[in-house]
Amino acid sequence: MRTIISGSVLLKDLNPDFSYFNKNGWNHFVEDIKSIKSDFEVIEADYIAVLVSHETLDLSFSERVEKALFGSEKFVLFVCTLGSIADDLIQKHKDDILKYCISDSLASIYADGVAEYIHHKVVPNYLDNDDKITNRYSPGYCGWDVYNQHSLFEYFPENPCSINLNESALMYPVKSVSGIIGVGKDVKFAEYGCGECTNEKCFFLKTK
Amino acid sequence: MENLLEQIALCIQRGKIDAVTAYPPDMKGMKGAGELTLDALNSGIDANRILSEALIPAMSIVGDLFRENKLFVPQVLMSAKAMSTAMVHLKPYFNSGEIAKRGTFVIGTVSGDLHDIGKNLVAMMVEGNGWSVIDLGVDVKSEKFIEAAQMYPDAIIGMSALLTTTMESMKKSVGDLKNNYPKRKIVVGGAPLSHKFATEIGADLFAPDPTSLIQYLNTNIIIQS
Repeated sequence: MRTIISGSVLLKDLNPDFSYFNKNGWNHFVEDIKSIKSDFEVIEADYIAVLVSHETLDLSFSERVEKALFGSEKFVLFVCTLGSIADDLIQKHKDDILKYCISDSLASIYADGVAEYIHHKVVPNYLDNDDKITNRYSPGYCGWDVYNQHSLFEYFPENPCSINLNESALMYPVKSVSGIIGVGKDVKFAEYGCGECTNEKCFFLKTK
Repeated sequence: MENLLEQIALCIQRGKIDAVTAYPPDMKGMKGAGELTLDALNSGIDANRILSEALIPAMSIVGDLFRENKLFVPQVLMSAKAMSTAMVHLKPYFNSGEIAKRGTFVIGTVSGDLHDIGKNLVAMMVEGNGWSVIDLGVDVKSEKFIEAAQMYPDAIIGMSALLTTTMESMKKSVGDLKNNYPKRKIVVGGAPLSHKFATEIGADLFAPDPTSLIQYLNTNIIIQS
């Protein structure tokens, strides 16, 4: 079994979590954030998701990801990108570290917003009524070695959404997200994904 | 004259870049670090004094306040911008040798990691402390660090990683570099790291923040003319 889903979504139609900018100190730069945000909102992000059965999946995971996907009968492998236009928007501010930080952070938030859209708006349309989904996991996070990105990409058509992998398994355009979601009758979605993690080294836990 | 140096230092601490920028709101319309540095140079203040009596102490205070969670990322970024605006006017004095560089610092984000905002901020702060900074960028492989070590024999090497999964790349790069240049000083930084990890992989220092890095660099000063 292998179902390929592809599409695009306008960033202005997403409702990502911008709470990073509610943290201390950003209140003086609301206008800069608003202006850069409006540059990003016109971008149409592309995505491809592939639904595969348990039997056809051959990927190595970290212990944490393996555990989280346990019990999955099917898997959704996905990749999405804001495209090179987002990289250009960030690079435009290369000489202004504040605007560079704002644009890079906004792009990351939007890229995660697209992954969230695939996860909760697109994927459910292709599942059986009693199917449940897990959280999503990406190479490079939760101990899953980024070099597994090469194996993950073998499930997609060549250069999916015009994304290329470099030698270090990094995606270009930079603001791209890839990952896996488990599907099954008995899998669990942890509402606070990072909440259960005890990895004290993790950047995300440290900045929460 | 002293007043000008104090004003420059204040502008850097508060992130006041120039008269045009509205930040911080209570200094709107006032001259910023850029104009005041020019004023100082025009009034005959030695470029070295501007660096050592205004820029360096001001950024040191900013670094300390950041470490104590009394300043936050956007404020530090604005201070770094103010400092680099002042540095533009001091650059000719570095180039002519009138201001001696304290040494060379090579910095890069390790292979497999694209995060660069922290690295860029560190680079700016180190530069503001009178060091020459060579930024190798992101996703830097061992070979590139080794090449830089060869090209800049007196340089201290800095490596950054933000992902737990790229700490392995850092371990490899530190190992490869130490195999080629055993005495070369290597400083590592990044949110997932620790002193223990830095020691385990053979790095000379774990710098949890820019201030600790600068303190370490300043104990290894090689004056360059």
